[in-house]
Parts: sequence; structure tokens; C-alpha cells
Amino acid sequence: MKQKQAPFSLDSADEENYRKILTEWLQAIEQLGHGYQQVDLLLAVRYSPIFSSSQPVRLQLSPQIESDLKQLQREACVLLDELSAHIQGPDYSPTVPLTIGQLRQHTALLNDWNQRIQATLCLITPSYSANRCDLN
Amino acid sequence: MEKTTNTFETLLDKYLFRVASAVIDQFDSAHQDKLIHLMLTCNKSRIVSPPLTAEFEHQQTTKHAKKIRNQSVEDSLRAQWQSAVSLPGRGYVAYQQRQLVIYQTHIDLMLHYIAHLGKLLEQATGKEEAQPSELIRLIQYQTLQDRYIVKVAKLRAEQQKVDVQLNLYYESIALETGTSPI
Repeated sequence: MKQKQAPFSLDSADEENYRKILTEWLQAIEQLGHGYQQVDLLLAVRYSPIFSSSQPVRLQLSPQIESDLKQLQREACVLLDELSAHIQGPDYSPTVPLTIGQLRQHTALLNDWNQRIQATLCLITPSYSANRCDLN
Repeated sequence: MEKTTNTFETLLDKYLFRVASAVIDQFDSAHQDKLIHLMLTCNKSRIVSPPLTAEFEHQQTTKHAKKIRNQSVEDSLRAQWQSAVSLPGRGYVAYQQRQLVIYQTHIDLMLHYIAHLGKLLEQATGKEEAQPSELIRLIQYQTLQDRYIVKVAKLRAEQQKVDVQLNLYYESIALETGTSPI
């Protein structure tokens, strides 16, 4: 498919730079989704009766970690809501593109959340921490 | 917590849709596919899709073994959890009813997107002399709308499946207790 020149209304970056920023944004939003699912799973396991002391899998969430995870969940929802509102209102025109500045800002906010969730997950168990931290 | 998950997924879907509407014609086709894939999978159990770029792919390959090992633990936990909550008995009806509501919410959202894309298509086709770039955008809107329609059909099928399971459960309970089904 023929590529369209991206409109650079607020920035003078070239098209290649724009694509790079889009790619970084895509990675950031994917990581947000994946990170949220990890948190959701951990909290689900924490509350599940089948993972009582007789089960082989024991995740030890301290009250503080649990509180942090729930807080991160709430922040993820607020973040998405704010980013949606930041783009355009309900009567937006599809002819108005996202600017590079907006995309960079969104990516930075998403990455900030991603870093905090990784830091929190690495505190949970040594084995979990080892695996996750090695990925970074 | 289910409600929170659903809210997150809905918000994610909404955000992706808004970004896609604004930037989709600025992506090359590979990134368009990536974004559309993301939109279509954001309500499934795994959002993460294959790596985007060659260098990222190379990095990921070296870490693949660790990732697989780690994911296998998560998969195991998820499977046990899902198995526990889906067993008939206490909480089963509430779980299935909640699933029905989640499916319906998602379907409503998809229908809203389809309607919105219909408006965009109407605007785009109303022009007498369409530029090549506008024709490309038209095709993209149409593709996205088609995929949403397919997704709605899949969601309805899943919803129907849950509905049937729930009705069978009601009937089995009614047979056991000698009362008429709900």
C-alpha cells in the first residue's frame, strides 16, 4: 500500500522519525495491556481459594504490594481515559491527525506506568522477580 | 475485580480506536495491520503480539526461552483460576451472568464503532473528486468496519454459548429440585 506523507504541523521531524515514534507508542501501549493483565492475574490468584496453603503455587503479596497493584490498576484506567480525552472530543474530525508532540507525550506517560509496574512486579517473589527483571 | 478488568479493556479499546481514527492513514501497511490486530485482540487473554521491528525481534529471540518459561507459570495459574471459577455450583450462575453482561457491553461498544465508521465512510464517499489518499483511507475505514462486524458476530456467538450453558444449568437444577426452570 502506498504510504501517505504524515502531516508535520507542529514538528519538523521527517517521516522516518514519525514512524519510529509511532512504533514506540505501539510498543508502549502493548506493554501497558500486558502489564495490566499480569497485575490482574496476580490479584486474582491472591484471592483464589484454590491457592491456599495446600497448593504448590504460593504468591506472597504483602498488603503494601497488593495496595500498590490495585493503585496501578486504577491509574492505568485513569491514564487511558485521560489519553482518550486528550486526543479529541466526541465530535472530532478524522482529518485532524495526532501530532508528534502528542504521540511522544502519550508514549512517555505509558512508559512511566510500564516502568512502575515492572518495578512493583519485581518485588513480589524472587523467582518472579528474576524472570521479569531479566527481560528488561 | 472483573468489573475493573472490563473497564480497563473498554477504556483500552476506546483509546486505541481514537488513536487509530487519527493516525491510521499515516501508518504504513505493516503498522496498520499491527494496530488493527491490537484493537482486535485487546479484549483477549493475551494482548502482546509478535515484535514490531527487526532489531526488537532479534532481542526478543534471545530472551524467548525465559519468556516462555515465565508465561507457562502464568498460563498454569490462569488455567487453574478459570477452572475454579467455571465449575458449576456456588458462584457459577453469577459468573456466567457476569460473562453475559461483559459480552453485551463489548458488543454495544463494537456497534458504536461500526456506526461511527459508517459516518466516516459516508463523509469520505460524499466527495465528488476523491484523491488517491482519500481512497486509501476509505478502504481502511471499510476494512476496519468489516473486522468489527466480524468481531461482533464472534462475540454474539460466544454470548449465545454462555446463554445456552446457563439455561442448561437452570434446567439441570430444576430437574434435581423438581421445580420448573427459571
